[in-house]
Order: sequence, then C-alpha cells, then structure tokens
Amino acid sequence: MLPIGFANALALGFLGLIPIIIGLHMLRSRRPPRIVSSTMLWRQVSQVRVGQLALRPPVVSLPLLLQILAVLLLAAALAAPGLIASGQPRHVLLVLDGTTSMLATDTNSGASRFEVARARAAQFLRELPAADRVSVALLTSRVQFIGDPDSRNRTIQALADVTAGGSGALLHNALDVFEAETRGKEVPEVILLTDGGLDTTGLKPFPGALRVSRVGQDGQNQGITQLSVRPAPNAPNTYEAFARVTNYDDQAIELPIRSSADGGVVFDRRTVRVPARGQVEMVLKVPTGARLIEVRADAKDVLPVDNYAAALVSRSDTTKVTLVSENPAFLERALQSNPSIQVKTVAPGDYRATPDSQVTVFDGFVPDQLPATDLLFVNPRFGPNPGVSGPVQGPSDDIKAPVPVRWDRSHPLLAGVDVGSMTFGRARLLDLPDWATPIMEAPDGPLVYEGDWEGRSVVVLAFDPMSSDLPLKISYPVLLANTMSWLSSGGVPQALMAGAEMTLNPVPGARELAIRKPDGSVVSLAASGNRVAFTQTEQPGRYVVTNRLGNRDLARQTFVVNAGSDTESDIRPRDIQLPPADASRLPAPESTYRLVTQENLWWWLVGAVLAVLMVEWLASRRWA
Amino acid sequence: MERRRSPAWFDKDFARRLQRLALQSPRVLRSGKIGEHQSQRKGSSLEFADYRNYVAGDDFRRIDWNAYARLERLLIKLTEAQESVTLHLLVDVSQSMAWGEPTKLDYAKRTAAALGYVALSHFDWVTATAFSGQLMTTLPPTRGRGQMTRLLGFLADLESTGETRIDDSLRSYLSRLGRGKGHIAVVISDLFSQDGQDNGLRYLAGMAENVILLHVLDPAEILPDVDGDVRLIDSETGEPIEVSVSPALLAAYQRELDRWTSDIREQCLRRGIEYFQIDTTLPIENLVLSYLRRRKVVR
Repeated sequence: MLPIGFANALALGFLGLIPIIIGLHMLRSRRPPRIVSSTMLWRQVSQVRVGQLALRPPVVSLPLLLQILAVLLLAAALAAPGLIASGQPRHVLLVLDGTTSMLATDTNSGASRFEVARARAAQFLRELPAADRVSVALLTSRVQFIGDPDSRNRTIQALADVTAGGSGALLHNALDVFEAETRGKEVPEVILLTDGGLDTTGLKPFPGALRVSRVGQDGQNQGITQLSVRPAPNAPNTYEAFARVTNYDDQAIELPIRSSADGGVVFDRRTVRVPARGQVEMVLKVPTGARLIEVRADAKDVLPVDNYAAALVSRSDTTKVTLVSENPAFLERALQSNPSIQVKTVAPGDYRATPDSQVTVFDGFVPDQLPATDLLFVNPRFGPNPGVSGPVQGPSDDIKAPVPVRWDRSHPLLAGVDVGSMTFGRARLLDLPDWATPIMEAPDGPLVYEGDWEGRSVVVLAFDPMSSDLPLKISYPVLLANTMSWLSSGGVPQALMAGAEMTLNPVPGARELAIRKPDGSVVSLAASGNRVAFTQTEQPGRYVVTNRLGNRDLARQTFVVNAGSDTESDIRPRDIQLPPADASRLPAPESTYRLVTQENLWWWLVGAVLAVLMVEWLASRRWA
Repeated sequence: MERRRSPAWFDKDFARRLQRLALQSPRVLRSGKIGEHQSQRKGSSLEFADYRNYVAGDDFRRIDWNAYARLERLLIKLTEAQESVTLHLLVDVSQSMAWGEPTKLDYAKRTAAALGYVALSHFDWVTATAFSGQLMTTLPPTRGRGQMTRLLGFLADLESTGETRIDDSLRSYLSRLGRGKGHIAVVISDLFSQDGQDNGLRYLAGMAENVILLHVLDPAEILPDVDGDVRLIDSETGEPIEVSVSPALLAAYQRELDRWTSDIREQCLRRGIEYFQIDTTLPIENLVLSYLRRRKVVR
C-alpha cells in the first residue's frame, strides 16, 4: 500500500478545530425550559444538575460527529492529499502549434485548427495520469511555456488565454529547454499538437517518446504571400509594389484583387488567374505620396488572414553609404541597384572615420575606430585587438562550410530569403554579443545577427560571400536589400510577419507608447530607453504607435503585420519527420519518490464538506 | 350565597350504569350504620332504614311490593340488617396533578365522583379529602344519593396547590379516621411525593378495612416526549434539572419508572393494599365499569 502524503501539510493544523468543537459541545448551553410534573425520576437517571458543572462530558451526537467529519474533510482538502509514488516520474510536454496556419478552419466543427488543438491539449491535461507532470509550450514566432507543471487547473486556465499567430519558432528550442529541465529527474515525453507546420530545423534525437496529434484536414487556400515596396528603377521619386499571390488548391482559380493606398483609395483592381499550386506576381504602381499600400484578395478559403497584406512605403531621402572594401565590385553593384542609395567606395587603407554617410559597410575589414553611423559588417576580419570589444567579437578563427541550423524566418532581414538554398564556404567564428539578436545560426556560432550598439544599428554578416557561389543565388542580393532597407529606415520594416517582435524607437521625451492594434484594442508600454520590444503582433493589419508624454501626443508611427507567407499559407497538413528516440540519454533508473496529488480531489473534498455541513444543519435542527 | 352548579362529569346513561354497581368489600364489615353490606350480627338490623330504586340483579325478595302498588315504582327496602360502609376518597391536589392533558387532577376528580356516586347510590357513607403537602379540605361524611351534588361541588372546587407529601397527609388523616369498621379508603394520586408513601399507606392499611391506591399517570410520564438538551422544571418545586435526552437516557428513565412502580406495587402487596396504575387516556367509563369491576373494586 502506498503511503499518503500532503502537498500542503501545514493545512493539517485545521485539525486543531476538532478539540475546540468538542469543547464547545462540552459547554452547557442555554437549554429550552420544559415544565414536567416531577423531576423525581429524572434525577435518578441523570447526573447533571444546574450550577454543578461548567462542563459536561461530551454527548456523542450526530451533529458533533458531522462537525468533526467536516473539519477532517476541510483539512484534507486544504492539505492536498496524495499518494507518494515510487519509481520514475514522467514529465509530458504538450507542444501546441500556434503558427498562422493553425488559424485555418478546415475542421469538422468549423473551429480553427488551433482551437481544436487547444481543446485536445486540455483533454490531455485532464486525462493524463495524475502522477505525471505536464508542461505546455506554445510555438508561434517564439517559444512560450504556459501554465504550471504542478497545477493542471492553472495550466488549463492559461490555455484559454493564448492565441495563435506568427511563425518561425523552432521546435528544437522548446525541446532543448524541456530536456534540460527533466534531465536526470524525470522521463520526458512529448506530444505535438500540430498540423505539421512546425519548423523542425535542427531537431536532434530526443531522449524520450515523441508523439504527434495532428489537426486539420486537407484545406485548400489562397493567400498573398509577398508584398514589398521599392523605388521604381529609372523613375525618381516613384515607387512600385511587388505582390505575389499563391494558390495552394489543386484547381486553378480566378481571384479578384483590390489594392488601396493609405487605408482608402483603391488604385488598382484586377482579377488574376492563379494556376493550381502556382503563383502570380503583380507589379503595382504606387500612387504618388502614398505611405501605406494594402492588397486584398477576395478568396473564399479556410484561412482568411492571409488574404490581406500591407506594406509601408519607405520615403527616406537618398541614403549615403560608405563601402570600405578591398574588392568592392560585387557589393557596390548590389548596393547601387537601389536608386535611393548613394554609394561611396573606400579602400581599407584610405578609410578615415568621418560622419559624412548614414551607413558604413565594412567588407572583410574592421577599423580600430568605428564611425558614428549605422554599420554593416560583412565577413569581419580583425586582428587580435580590435575584436576584443565592439560590435564584432570572437577568436580569430574561421568556421569551415557552416550550415545554418536555426534562423528567424519572421525577421525582416530574411523576408523573401530562401535560407535552405544558401551555401557558405567559410565564416568568421564570432561570439554573439549580449545586445544582439541572432537571425541565422550555425552550430558553432552566429551567421547573421543584428542589434543596437552604442546608439548605432548594427547588422553583422559573419560569412564570406565570396567563398562560395552565394553571390550567384537570388537570396544574397535580397538579404543585402533587406539589410540596407532595415538600416536606412531606422529599424522600421515595410511589414512584419505575424508574431514577429517589433522594435519601437520612442521619440525623445516620450514616457508612454500606446499601440492600437488592428482590432482596435490598445496596449500601453512604458517608453523606457531608446528601444522597446513589442511582441503582440499576432493580428495582421495596421498598428498605430502613439508616443505620449502625459496627455500630450508627441509623435505617431505606423507599422504593419502580414500573416501570409510561403510557409504559413500552405496549410496542407503534413507529417513531421521525427528523429528516433535517444534511449541512452534517459535518466538513470534510480528510484525516486514524489507526491502524487490529484487536484480534482480538492474540489470533491470541498463538495463533501458542503454536503456534510448541510446534513449537519438538518441534524442540528432535529437534535435541538 | 350562590350555589355552585355541579359539573356534568357523566351523563345519565353512565349514571344509570353506576347505580347498578356497589362497592365491594372483601372483608367482613363491622359497622353500626345502615347499608347494603350484609352484617355479621344475626337478628339485628331488621329495622327499615330507607328505599332505593331497583336495579337489575337485585334480589326480588327485597322489593317492597306495597310501595310498588302505591307508587308504581320498584323499590328495594333497606334495613338495618344490611350494614353500610364509609368510602374515604383521598384526592391528591398537588401541583404535579395539574399536569397532562387532561390533567391528572381532573381525571382524579371524575374518578372520585364516579366511585362516590356508586357509594351514595347504595346508601354508603362518603367522605372526601384533598391533600397535597398536608390535608387541605374535607367533605364531611354524608350519604344518600341526594348528597351527590355536594360531593360534585366539593370535587369541582378542588384546585392544585403545593407539593405532594403523602406520608404526612395520610398520617394526619388517620386521626380523623379512627380504627374503623367498614372503612374503604381510595387514594388517588400520582405518588410524586417528596417523602414517599410507604409509611402513610401502612398506617392507612392498618386503620381502614380496605385501601385502594389508584396511581394516576399521564402517558407523557410513562413515555416522555422530550428530546435533546432541555431544562426540565419540576412543576411542584420549580427546581430545574438539565438533561441531554438521548435514546439511552430514555431507556434508563423507563427502567427507573418500572423500578419505582414495582416498589410501590410490592409495598401495597405487603400491606394488603390494592394497587392500580392508571393511564389518563383510559376513559372513566372503562375505568369504573370495566377495569375496577374486573378487579373486584366494585361489583
């Protein structure tokens, strides 16, 4: 027989109420008077006399027994009783896929895949053996552990509050954290609640069972998977928008497309025929002076959120860029393809740090003194001293043929970049600074990162583009274009992927940032420092940021969020290729002991207390 | 002074049936008074004393046919040859007798009235006395059916008062009784006496020819209808006692009641006293016409 333990043994102190209750029963109460003909016979059979005793022996009555029972049940309820089980405790991780594709409504009930998965997760929480600990991880654009592994009820409540939207979170990030938490203590087990769209890049053999609970049917979808605005070549001060419409259906479809500027004026209306499992690309002429472009596809599909896309028109003046490079030919050509960039090329030997440009690009070179401009480092080469401090740090070593294992596909720098097609010959081995955000990583170190260093926006491309055929791939110039757009716009992208983190730059003097979301709700953030991270970007649409000082509005900024992408709009359920279990990393089979509490028992016990008190009330009325 | 109207304690039919009864004296009676109880003394008591109505069962030979010829009524001639007895009705009027529904005192009054009517109908002497802590009031000895109104009036005026002290009361009564011939004493009481009843009954049994003890109890005294924690107040003394009534305590009360009544019954048996425990739910008609008749108190 298993011993019983209590999670909250202090609550057993309530048992001290029992002697108090007995004591109260021993006190002589004021009794109702009853006139009888004679007390002669009663005196012979009762020892109690008025005034003789302050206390009397306790009379074992039904109300007394029920009151004692109620106290026992109450103390037990508060003490959270449970069995002390021996053996290997199990810890189950429920991975809830919260990416945009989970918003598709191709389920039997008409609810979204995410709602079905969430209900299934709650069901698991209720049905898994009480001895198991259960954690829940929500994967959107990041990994979020929700609830409390030791409280199923709290976890179920937390589940009700989460929403889906975004993409880019890597499954292995959640599993790494989970494995570290359970290592040597519990047997880990993972249940994936997904439509198969989770990013399994870098997934390693897991020391426990991995199971998939798949949601969604074979949903057909169309979406706007790309929208960007760029200066029109050979036409100063004019812009054009590039939109891509993708059809994931097995049948070709004709879609009405409507494009509008600044939230009102429709400047383009057309119907495009999108082939089965194909794409249509459109080039739209942006009206003069427009700052926001929105494109809508009138598609009747199961994922409405990707039928809309928006992009900001970056109307910055010409950006002056200084390129410091020994072999500037390729970079120079790539930068000059953007009409709004004015490039000045300098050899490393002739370089002097002067603030006559807005962005300085160091190609294979790190100067001793850095200019007060935004910085792009490409293949940073430095001696032993310059790398000790500054935006690029690390040993003077190279990584041979690095392979990206994780990347943030929702980051604007990687918009439209096919990381899988990129190959690298070598890269500098760099340490990731504390202030930096990794965008693309190889097992040995970061390949791309960005951040804010001493008031400058900094992007570092650690790889050497000339060591492979990378310059011939379309993804490299796209990456460079994204980088220059990122740096020249002060960090405000044309559009964010849903769920991506938005870095806001409060204007000087602002104390508060009020962010109005597409659904009209407002989120307030303290404007502390010169960068504020905003992560509630699950809804596609336009976000308006108001910089406030008290009741005064100082400035207003806008950014937009799109849900559609090549990965999230393709909502066909897929099988996940899972690595085999790594049994060698299971915890040692030593016997451990832990208290197994049953949370539902608490409610049953409280219910029993109320029932007993009700019976006691009835019994007392009868007994009185 | 306005004469008090007698209470209508029994109807004509019951009265007629009472007239047919007579007190039963199991002992040999010695008395100098007239009556229907046969004397031991031969040749004496042949002198006419009174008439009474004929009732079924009377000896035909005792009908006065001359009177019938004059009055066309069947009358029984009473002579000195048939000696009378004196019925002593001793009614407990203590506070405890005023308890119950109907009260035990009311029941005792009606019982005394019925027995008194039987005696008066047979030309026996009847005297009634109320007692509680002491002797209260007494109806002097009287006889003849015409005195029934007096007896009823006396009984109707009795009110409950004081504590029961049977020993003291009965010993006081003995001085009035004297060592008697043909004395039948009927004591009607609940016997909740502060000083017991054994001595008083013993003295009474020694003086009277026949002593009958009618122990009147209310059903709620036999099976109390109290429950839980209560403060019981004695109706006579006002003394409270707190009890927590449980099934076990009720069982103990029952045992104590049985022990008490058994003791009294044994005392009575030892003294030659006829003891009857009566429940006030027993109708008076059944008590007199059936219960006491079967037990030879009346015939």
